[in-house]
Amino acid sequence: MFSKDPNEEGTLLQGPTTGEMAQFERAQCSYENLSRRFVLEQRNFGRQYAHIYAVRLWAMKARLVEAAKRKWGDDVCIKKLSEMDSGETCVVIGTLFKHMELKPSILKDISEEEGAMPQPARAKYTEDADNLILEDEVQRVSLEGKLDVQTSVTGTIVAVYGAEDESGRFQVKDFCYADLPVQNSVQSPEEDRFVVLVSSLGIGSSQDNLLALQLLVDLITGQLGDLGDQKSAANIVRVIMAGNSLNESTQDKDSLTKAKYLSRKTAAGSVEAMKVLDDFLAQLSSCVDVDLMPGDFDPANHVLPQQPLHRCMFPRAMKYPTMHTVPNPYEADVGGIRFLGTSGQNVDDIYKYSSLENSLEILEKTLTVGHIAPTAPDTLGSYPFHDSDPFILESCPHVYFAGNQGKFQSKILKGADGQRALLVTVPKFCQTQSCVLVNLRTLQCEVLQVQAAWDQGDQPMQE
Amino acid sequence: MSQMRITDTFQKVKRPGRTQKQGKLAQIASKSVEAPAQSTSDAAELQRQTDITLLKQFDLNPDFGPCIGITRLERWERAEKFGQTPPVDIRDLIVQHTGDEEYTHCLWNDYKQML
Repeated sequence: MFSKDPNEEGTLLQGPTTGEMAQFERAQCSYENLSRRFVLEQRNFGRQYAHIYAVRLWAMKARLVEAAKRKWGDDVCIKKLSEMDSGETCVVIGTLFKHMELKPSILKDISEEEGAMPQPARAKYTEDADNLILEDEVQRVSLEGKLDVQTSVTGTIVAVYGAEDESGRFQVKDFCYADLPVQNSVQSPEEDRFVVLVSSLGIGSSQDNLLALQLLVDLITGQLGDLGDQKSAANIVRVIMAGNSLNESTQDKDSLTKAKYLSRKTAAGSVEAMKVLDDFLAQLSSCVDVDLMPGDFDPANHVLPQQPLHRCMFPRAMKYPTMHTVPNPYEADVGGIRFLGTSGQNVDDIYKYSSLENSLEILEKTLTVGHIAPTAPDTLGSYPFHDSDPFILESCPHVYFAGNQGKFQSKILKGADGQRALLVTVPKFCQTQSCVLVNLRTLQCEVLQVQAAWDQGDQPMQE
Repeated sequence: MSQMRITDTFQKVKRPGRTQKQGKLAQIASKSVEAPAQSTSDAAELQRQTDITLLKQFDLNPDFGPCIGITRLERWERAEKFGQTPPVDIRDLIVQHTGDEEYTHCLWNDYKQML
């Protein structure tokens, strides 16, 4: 792993090396950006979201038929809701819709006749009375039974096995999701190669901790630590920044409500922060490949998929061919290992609309249902696609990550067909001063923490 | 004085094997020979009506997904992509009339301002 080799000579405090300076060549890895499907070619926001649901159901139906046949036998009868008779036991494939009383609704907010107060923002919008409805191409039916309401979310494609009772409700005896898609065979590098995942740099807040960030940059670029550290740092082939490089406070909402003549001369809060970010990125990309994903608070479009930040925002960093701005979600092949991840909006949204608490659990859920962001476009903003749903998992990634999560967690998920995926939740750098190192050879990961504060006096500076 | 009959002036001509209705049709037919331009526009109008009816039926077929907000060709190609086998003659109809909104856009096209 990245940790120092015990056989390696060298301590932090030692005399300057004499003679020739040690030089470490940065390791190289093959790279292919596979995010083409997340880059919008046209921007037509006039369409309805019915298309994306229709396309999602079509695209996933074949996979669910396959999964259903494997689970309940080849001769299981798969029907549409319109063909189903009451009391007949069969399999129905459709999209889940979770009816939630507490779900914020624009119609409720503007219904002034009732004199209702605007709905308060909540951490979670679930309640016990929530219920599930299954929709196929033309019809819908209420679900009861084995499928857990609280952990399910709207937009998931599911196959349910059961029968409709006299009251018209479908009694679910069993259910299944699409099988984990096939995984490309791993051609991992023979030596240790690392990819750094970091998120929420949070530049631009009032209590910036730029020293920690500078330490991280110095460590990656090999200007920190002893020879052993520098040797390890040379094996870092790529840095992926998973969103929220800027702090939330840089989003100046005032200018939207204030009159134009009042805010004419005020510069946007993000301008200074972007300059600082550009400075850090220039240092990093002078040494290593950097992929910058946009996040919730970055100056990018709001709806998923978020488009790459414009190159003009980084006049200094963009001079390097190693600096890449990429979309969110982002998929890439680094040294034969397929990375797929988001800046965390999909996980945060499922957190709000289900009883699931743990972000790693939620991340795993999105992988098992075969869809990166099932709640888009219902509660998570999404572009109104009409001929494809880019969030469907077409192949199983080797590393699947979500940025901007509370703490670092990781897990190896094993699929039925020998798939092996590393799930990682990337912590917020601005709060934890830590990032994640993924070893491409072993597919293991570890946390790298940079501390730049005097911790109650006893532990000065460690990295 | 014997009564004058109209047939005295206009001789009643009865040709064998022809009823009056057919005569009228023949008249129309002979007229149409005289003015071909008008007849083709009639036929074209008729053709257009049947085409539009066919296209509307395509729009209303739920097997090919929602139709509002996208062009008919986009919808046809999407259905094809997902293996729904949309009828080929519909595609031909749309492709032959690419400048005509009534052919290229779905039947709710007039309501797009309300979206």
